Order: sequence, then structure tokens, then C-alpha cells
Amino acid sequence: MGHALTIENLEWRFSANEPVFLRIPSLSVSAGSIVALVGSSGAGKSTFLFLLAGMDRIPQGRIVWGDRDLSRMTDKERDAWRRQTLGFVFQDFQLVPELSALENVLLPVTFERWSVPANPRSRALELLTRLGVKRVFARASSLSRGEMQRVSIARSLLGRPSVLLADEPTASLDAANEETVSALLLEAAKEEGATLVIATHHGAVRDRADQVLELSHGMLSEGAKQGGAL
Amino acid sequence: MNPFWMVVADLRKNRLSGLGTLLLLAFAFSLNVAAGFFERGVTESGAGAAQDFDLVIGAPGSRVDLVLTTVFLRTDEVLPLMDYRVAEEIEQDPRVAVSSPFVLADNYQGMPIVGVGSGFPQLRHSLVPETGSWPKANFEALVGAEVPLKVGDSFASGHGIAESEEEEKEEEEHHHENISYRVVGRLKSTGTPWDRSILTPYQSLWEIHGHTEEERPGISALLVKPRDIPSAYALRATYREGKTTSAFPGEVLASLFGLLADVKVAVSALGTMLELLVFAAVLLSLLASLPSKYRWIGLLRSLGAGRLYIFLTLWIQSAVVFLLAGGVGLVIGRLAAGILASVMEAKTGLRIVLTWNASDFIPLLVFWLIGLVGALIPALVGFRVSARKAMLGQ
Repeated sequence: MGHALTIENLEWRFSANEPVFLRIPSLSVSAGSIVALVGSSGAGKSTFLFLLAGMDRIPQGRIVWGDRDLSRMTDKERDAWRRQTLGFVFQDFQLVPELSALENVLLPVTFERWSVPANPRSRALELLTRLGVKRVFARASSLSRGEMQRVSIARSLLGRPSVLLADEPTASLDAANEETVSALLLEAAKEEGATLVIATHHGAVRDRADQVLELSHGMLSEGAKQGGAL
Repeated sequence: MNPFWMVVADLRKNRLSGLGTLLLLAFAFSLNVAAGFFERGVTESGAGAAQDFDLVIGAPGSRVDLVLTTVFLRTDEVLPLMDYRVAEEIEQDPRVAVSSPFVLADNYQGMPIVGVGSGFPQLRHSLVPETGSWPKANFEALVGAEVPLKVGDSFASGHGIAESEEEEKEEEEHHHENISYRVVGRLKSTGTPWDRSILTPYQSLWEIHGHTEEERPGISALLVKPRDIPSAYALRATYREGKTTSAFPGEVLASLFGLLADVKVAVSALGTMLELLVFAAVLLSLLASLPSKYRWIGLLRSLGAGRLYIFLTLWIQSAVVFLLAGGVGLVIGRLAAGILASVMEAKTGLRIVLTWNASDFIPLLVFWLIGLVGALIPALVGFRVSARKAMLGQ
């Protein structure tokens, strides 16, 4: 089951001397919901997602996923939390081109284990099949862009994450793949019961979201759905 | 934790630059390795060739030439002839146990014909006939293991000691055609220039050049086995000045090898400087290329990899190059020493046997240690990179 998100008095700046870049007095997201994060380029969507992923210290305010307060966790604890709880899908796929599709999906397993046990391997194969990736042993560099993003989604789902973060996952895809990949990601999040926060410009994703958040000038506000088709 | 997936991926991605770096390091390291192997090979092989020679006495001149001619059969410097009457006096010296005249004159297909006396087999225990026997009469010959003649063969000698092809052609026209030698034995292989020698009584060489024994035309040197150590030093002192010169081959070779050791030290110093420069260049390039790895560092961190995983991945990626470079450098150095040894063998006839020794691996261990420690620098820099900054390429 996904985790609920609570943010309180979050103020974040790139360095101590710079002005506040993100200011979020309070935010609540229900567990298992789909949240569309919208905003113009440079508004700070990626930075916000990385903070939600615990990839930086939070000197002021709190970000709490379920009962885990990221702002009180050490660097090492946040690493472990990401491994156990989080899946991340990137705009530019972020695959390792020299590894196969299957190896890319299984890569996070090697962060803790020397060899990959049978269970994650069969789950990786099942996810790749479910997402329509046929060439599982082909080098990632030889895959089409649509296949690459499917592999990236499979990787994010491998550990049955409670939290899924996606940073404009369809921005690098053509229209046909954009529809398909968006649908696959939303379905997968629902099936896994994960809370999904997805930065997107895609109207249909926005329409299917349980909650729309708009980021502008470092401030977060509730946004409206657009009425697009998915 | 298994960082090798990313290590292999990085090596695949950077295989050309990795190979270039590896070869650069390997060649820098191989210079020291080659110098070490070669110096030891020459010293050991030279000492082996000289082991039977206690004292050599010749006409006044260079002691180094005297030793190189009598021990290594060097033919590019002709020794001045020693008065045979002086040699006879020395042979009568009570401090002399055994002696043998040594005459280096003619050749057969470029292989030196060495005239020796009846005492020679007692002086050179390492020369043992494999088939046949020592020559007893004039124009009987005992040939070295590499001479292409068998027992029972006859051959005519060429005048002088041929060096170049041109000279060889000229020599062909100046064979002592009317007199031929008969092979009565073949020596066992010794790995020394004596494998290419042809031994015969020294009187054969006098006779072939038209001299009689009564004329006593002179010899190249007298090989001497003194009765004991005090006699050896006394003989050397007695015959060092005046009508003769004398030398302990071991002593002369030790000073030559000392010179070689100095050259080796100089080459090693240059090699070490080169190694350090290449090390520094490689480390700087590793550091300079680190930002290009920030994206995957950020990716791995966002997927849950800890700093230790990043550190180990970066460290092993560099360490693998240093480890392989050390191994390849050792092989290249050994091959280079082998080529040098072949060149020297072709030039001097001294077969240099290169051996492996436990001490050969000490420079390798030092190289690896420096490499492994140096590889920590980019790994530590990567270790400290913030995950968010790395992901955003900041």
C-alpha cells in the first residue's frame, strides 16, 4: 500500500546565501493516490521531486512519507529508504546503455546483494513482459525510446515501491508512445497500490490524477484538471 | 553489494580510452621491468661464462679486452700477441697449477677457431664433450653445440675472424684450402659463446699460418689456474706490468657489471620519473572525467545506492586499469628484456638467460599499491558528490 505524504513548513534553497527556491507551508497527499505536478519549465518540478525522494538534506521544514520523516533521517537512512520504498522514472530514461534491458531493471538489487536471487529476476522478466519489452537481453542502447521508458518503468516497479516518482516520463517520447507509456505507468501505480507523484505536461495524465499540484515561483497550489483524453 | 555490473559497464563504455590509459601506464612501468631483468640476466649469464677462469695473462694492453676475448670470445678487438717464451716461463712458475695457451685466430663460417693447450680441459670444467673426445693431434677439432658440424666432418678454416658480410665474402676467397680440420667431438651446450667455438690444439693455428713450433710465433693469452688463492694474487701482481698484463675475469666482469648496474639505476630512475608523470596524468584525467560520470552517480543514488557503492564502483573502475597495466607492463618489460638479450647475444655471442625471481614482483606490488591508493582520489571525490546535484548535473 502506498504512503501518504505530508509536508510542513518546507523552505528550501540551493545554498545558504541564496533566496528561498521552494516554499511549501503545508501539503497532504493521500496514500495510493495519483498526483500530477504541473508547472512551467524551470519552475522547480525536478528539484521538488528530488526532495520528495530524499536526495538532499532538508534543513527547514518536514517531508513525511507515511511515518518516515525524511528531514530527520541521515544520508544513509535516506539511501536505504529509497531502496526499500521508492521507484523513480526519469524524463530521459536514465538507463545504463552498456547493460541489457534485464540488467537495467535488476541493477538496484546489486546495491545490497552480490548475486541476483531468482525472485527479483522472475519479477523483472514478468514486469518487462507486462510492459511489452520483448528484447530483454538486448543492450539498452539498442532499444527504441519507447522501449527504454518501459524498461525504466519496470526498474522503478521492481521493488514493489510504496512511492513512485516520475519526472516528465513521456516528454522524450512521440505522441503514440506518450499515450501508451502514460497509461502503463498509471495502471502499474494503481496495480501496485503506490502513491504516484508525476511531473507532467500531459493533459490526459492531469485529468486522471486524483490531485493536481501546480508549482509556480517556488510556491505550490492546487491546480485544475484539463479534460484531456487518455 | 556488487559494484562490478557498473564497473563492467564503464569499461565497455570507455574501452578505447581505458585501453590507451592502460598501455600508457604499462609502457611506463615496463621500462623499469626491462632494465631489471636485463641487468640481472647479463650479470648472471656473464658470471656463469666466467666461472672457470681464474687468471688470464696476455700481452700488455687492455685488461677488459683480455677478459672479453678469453671469456666471451669477443672477436671485434684483436689482442696483441704475447711472446710465447714469456708464456713458457709462466707455465714453469711453481705457483701455477695448470695452464693453457689461448690463440684466437681463424674462423669457420664466422665461428671462431680457438687454439688451446692440453691443460685446457682441466681449466674449463664446464666444457664437456657430448660425443667424441678432446682433440689430441693438430687439426683435430672439438666443436661447440651450435656449430653445424658432426663428428667425422672435415672443414677448411677462413683466415682471420670474420665480422661483417663483406669481410666474410673476402674471407671466402682466403680459405686455407689445402689444410682441413677433422671434427673429433662435439661439446654439450653451455649457453655461452663457447657453443659457437671450434677448439683445436694451438699448434694447428701456428702451422696453418706457416709457422713451426720452434719459431714460437706467439699466443693471444695464457689461461692459468693458480695453486691456491695467495698464488693467484701473487701471479696477478707479478705479471700485471712489464711484458705482460694479467686479470681475474671475475674482478673485471664485476666492475663491468657494476657499470651496467649504474646504467640500470639511471634507466630505472628515468623509468620511475616517467611512471610518476604518467600516474599523475592519468589521475588528473580521471578527475577531469569525473563530472561526466555525475549523471550515473546521481542515477544510482536516486535508485537507492549508498555512497559506499559509488565509492567502490569508482575505485574499482580505476583500480582495474592500474592492476591490468601492472600485469601487462611486467609482460612487456620481460619481452623487451628478451629482445635486448637477443640483440646482445647476436652482437657478443653471450647467451643471456632471463630468469624469473621473486624480487621481480616487488616493483609490480609497489606499482599496484600506488595505483590502488591513487584510484582512491577520484573515488573519494565521487563519494562526496551530492545525489541531487549529481542528478541535475550541478
